[in-house]
Amino acid sequence: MEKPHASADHSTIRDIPHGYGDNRIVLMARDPWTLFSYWEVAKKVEDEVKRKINENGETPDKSLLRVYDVTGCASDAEYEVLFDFELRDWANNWYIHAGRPGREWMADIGILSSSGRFYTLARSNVVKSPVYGMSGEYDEEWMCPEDLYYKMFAFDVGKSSMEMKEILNRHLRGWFFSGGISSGMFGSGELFTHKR
Amino acid sequence: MLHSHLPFIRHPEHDTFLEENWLFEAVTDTYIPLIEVFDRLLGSGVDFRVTVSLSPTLISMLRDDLLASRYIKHLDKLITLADLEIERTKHDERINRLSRMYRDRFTRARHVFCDRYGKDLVGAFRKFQDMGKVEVITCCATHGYLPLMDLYRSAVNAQVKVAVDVYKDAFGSIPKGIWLPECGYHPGHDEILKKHGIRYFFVESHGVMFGSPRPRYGVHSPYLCKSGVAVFGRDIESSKAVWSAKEGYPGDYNYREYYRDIGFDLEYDYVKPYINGCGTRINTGIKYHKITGRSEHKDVYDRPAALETAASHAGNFMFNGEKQVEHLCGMMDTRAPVIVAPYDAELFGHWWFEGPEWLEFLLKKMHYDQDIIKTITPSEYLSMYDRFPVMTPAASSWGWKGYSEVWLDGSNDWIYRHLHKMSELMEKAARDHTDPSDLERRALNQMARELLLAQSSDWAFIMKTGTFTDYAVKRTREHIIRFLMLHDQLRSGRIDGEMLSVAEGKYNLFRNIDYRVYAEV
Repeated sequence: MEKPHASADHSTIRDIPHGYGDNRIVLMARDPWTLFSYWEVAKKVEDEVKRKINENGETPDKSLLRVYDVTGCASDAEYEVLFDFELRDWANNWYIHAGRPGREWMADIGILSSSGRFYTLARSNVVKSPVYGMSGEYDEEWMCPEDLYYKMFAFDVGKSSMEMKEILNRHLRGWFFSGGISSGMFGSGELFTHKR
Repeated sequence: MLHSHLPFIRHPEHDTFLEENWLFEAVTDTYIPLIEVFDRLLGSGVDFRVTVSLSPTLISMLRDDLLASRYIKHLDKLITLADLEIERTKHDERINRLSRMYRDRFTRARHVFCDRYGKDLVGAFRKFQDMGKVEVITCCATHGYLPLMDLYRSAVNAQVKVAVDVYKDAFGSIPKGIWLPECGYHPGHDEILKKHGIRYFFVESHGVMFGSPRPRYGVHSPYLCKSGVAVFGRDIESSKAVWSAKEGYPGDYNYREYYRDIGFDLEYDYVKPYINGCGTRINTGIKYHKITGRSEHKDVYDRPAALETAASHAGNFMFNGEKQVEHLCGMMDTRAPVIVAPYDAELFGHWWFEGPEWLEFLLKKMHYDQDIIKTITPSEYLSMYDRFPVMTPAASSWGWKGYSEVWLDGSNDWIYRHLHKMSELMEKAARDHTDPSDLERRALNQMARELLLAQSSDWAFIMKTGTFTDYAVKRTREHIIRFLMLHDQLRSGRIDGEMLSVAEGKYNLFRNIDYRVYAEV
């Protein structure tokens, strides 16, 4: 059975391992527009895939992080490749500016062959980016027409819905970026008072 | 709604330890003043409702004998320092008056802590809850940030279950509500809350506003998730009045300036014996200046003027609340709009010195001066109506930028491959070990503690904000390494009993934890 970490023996772990000898890639959603991925590729898996590439008469060309939008897809064939990031050998994590809220995402770490064929080394979990904006769905029983929705924010309903959406965006962005929200004992006292 | 939390910091291996001060400062500046406010309100017959969340790590520290005795020593040093100050400033009447104010404060804190509550501040909150004025709710075990832990639902489940167990042990019942750390909500996590009997939680405004279907009442009503658990969204207007850097009350020029502490202002040799023995300058809590203005120049703090300002701010807050409610009433069918105003408890008293008094003025004014609005607990509001709209809240947090960026950024993203790996190993170990020996069980339980402690969102937060980074990194590494060592020892059958005992002694929280929680799906 393989050891869970790459370094030495049982009782002398003194530092955090660089890796765990796994072959895996993990995808995380940071916000509606940004994903984060980290990975570890096992040497034996990489060797095996390279061997297969050679067997097919091709040569390994680039290391790639391939990101798919898999929203509502029933099978591989439907996955939409959104990004290919060429990786340097030392990269083991990446921020992906996917730019689409409320979608489902998946990533492969793999090798692109000389003939442009992609060979997967590891496939990630599926993750959903948070939704952003007023929902298009409304409840029949608890009806919430668009102008009522904005009125709840104490916004002037005389404006068009595009304008209201823009006001809401600015309002939230101003709030989100104010930073004064979470402080506990460590945080943002400096937002109220003026640090010397 | 006041959210009280501190990460678990306890260093029995040193006589004094800098970061333990955070607890002592929070107790002196925030928790005791709030307890005193509640006691005064009770004493004068004012009816009020406040919701308070106490994190399990905070509860554990408040119930720890070693930290209690260190706190008393800390207070005694401060009392001595205040005495010295009274002597030193005797020729300056204005400052001297403040030195006396601090001496009284510290002496009173000691009395409240030792005599009135027998070193059991958790008991104070229990008392207020039993009297129906305060609803105490829980928060995740070690304040782990759940959305970034979603890869392992067993880890999310454990953060909730351990929290509920700590609450049950301290309060004798299941908590009615939970404050998700940083309001970090990931769709589906409410099912986990449901499993443990929790009836409601909170999200940031856009968690409700972007929920689906559209929220009929904006943030002015709770909604039921599909699981049946209720969600309350934060009201931005009332939050802004307090939190906003530009417009918020705490920045008023009459209020006390946080950054003019004698621990930094005075001669090092003078303060050194009374601040933590470690040799760095730290906050003493004795501060003589008011904010005054935007420049470096600071006038002497005028306490009566500051209290007048607090009273006027309380009146303003109440007035705005009334106006807001009047505006909303026309849009709520016949429902009473709810205004959810959550804050970090430590804002009150610690960062905003006059915060507790502001709250006291507010609750008194609401009780005596008007009829339009009243304070209510989430449970009471939920019992007002038979039906609520059903909605799935949007993934969100109350952190900077509204999502997970604070905890997932170049400064701290390195931790997740380790936290996730630990969760994976813990899950597997929990499933594999169905009949462990005594020593094995202890190792497994300690592994669970190490995982929980490594997951404290405080570490990632501190790494991002850059204030005590070294400590946060040290703690994260320590827990990861000890977890991996225990895991390895368990596998090899050679558990280091002494290392285990030392770890159990130092991290003495969650005494009755059961590692098998990680085998639950």
